[in-house]
Amino acid sequence: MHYFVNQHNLKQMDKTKSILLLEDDTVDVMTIKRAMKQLNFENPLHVVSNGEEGLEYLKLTKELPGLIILDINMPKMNGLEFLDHMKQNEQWRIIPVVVLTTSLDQNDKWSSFQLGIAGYMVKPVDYDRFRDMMDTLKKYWGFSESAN
Amino acid sequence: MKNVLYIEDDIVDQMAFRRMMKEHSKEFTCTIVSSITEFKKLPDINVFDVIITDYYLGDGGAEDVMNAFPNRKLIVVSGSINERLGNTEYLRYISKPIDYSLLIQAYQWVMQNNGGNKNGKFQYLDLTYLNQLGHGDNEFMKEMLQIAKEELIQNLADLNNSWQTDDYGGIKFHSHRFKSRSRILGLGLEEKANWVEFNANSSQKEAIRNTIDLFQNICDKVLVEIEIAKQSFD
Repeated sequence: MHYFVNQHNLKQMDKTKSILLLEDDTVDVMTIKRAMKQLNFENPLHVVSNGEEGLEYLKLTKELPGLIILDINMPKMNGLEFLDHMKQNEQWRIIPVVVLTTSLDQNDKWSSFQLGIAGYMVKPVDYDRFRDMMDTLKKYWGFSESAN
Repeated sequence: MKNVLYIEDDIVDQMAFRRMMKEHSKEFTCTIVSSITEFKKLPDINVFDVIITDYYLGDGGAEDVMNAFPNRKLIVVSGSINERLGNTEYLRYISKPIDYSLLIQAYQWVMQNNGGNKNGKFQYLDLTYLNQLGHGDNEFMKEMLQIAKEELIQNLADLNNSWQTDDYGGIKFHSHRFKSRSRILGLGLEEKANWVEFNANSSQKEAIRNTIDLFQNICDKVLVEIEIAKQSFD
């Protein structure tokens, strides 16, 4: 199974809400942007390259993102550490987080779900499948209305 | 003139092969090594059009050659029926004593698609993923290839540096990143990178070093192929 999205945690999509992407790999960032463009995502995308920058972004932004897409393997503060921090904040913890990773480590998956993620997606080797995955996100992701 | 490498530890088989190649010396030049150790010391495997290896060698066997060059077509020879392998995308089996006509057939199979190149153009680089992503946008393809190249160089430098400083966390981290590089560029090295990631702190230091060297050797060639690919999108 390449991805799992808990649809009960995801609500109707709101085009005005932004997406925060935590990804340090430039090629993967471009891949995600490309897929979003091809799938006509209209939501603004903000990209940061590690957990520290992600927390900083959440502290400083005027409007919280409606969805966080999170890589696990990042320098400085990795995805799981970021999740642990953000879930301790009452305002941030309700933002849906979808993990997007190459990690096949079951511990990463288990820890992510323990920390309350909405979905876990393993980057496939085939771009068309990757786009399908992003399409699933587009169809089913939702924003916590009380976030912000 | 085709350049053939034969890996064989049996002196009688070596002599028979030499004799056969001598009879066809206008078509082939032949290099023979007697072990996997000697094979690994060869400075540049890419000078050989065809690699033929015995199934069992004193210090290893065909699987070592396959693992060292996962995307290269290989001819495996064996005298034992128990060792016969099924043909796969990257492997053809012929039995000993080597029959010249069978060797020629196997050779022609290797040379299909420009010498075993995965997509008819490159030996290591496979642009399937990027082509799907680029969707015919040449500028995008050039940009992606340039970024992938820069990140590949940095990735390997970081991985080598982590190895040299015994930074196991770094080896784990950078081998994990190498999986993404391999996936995007179609190098087929994800499983090996995964092995390094999960064994970074193990006692298998020599195997880890060899795998990192393998990444470096392949990527040296890939960097050249990326430049050629970029030009093809001009």
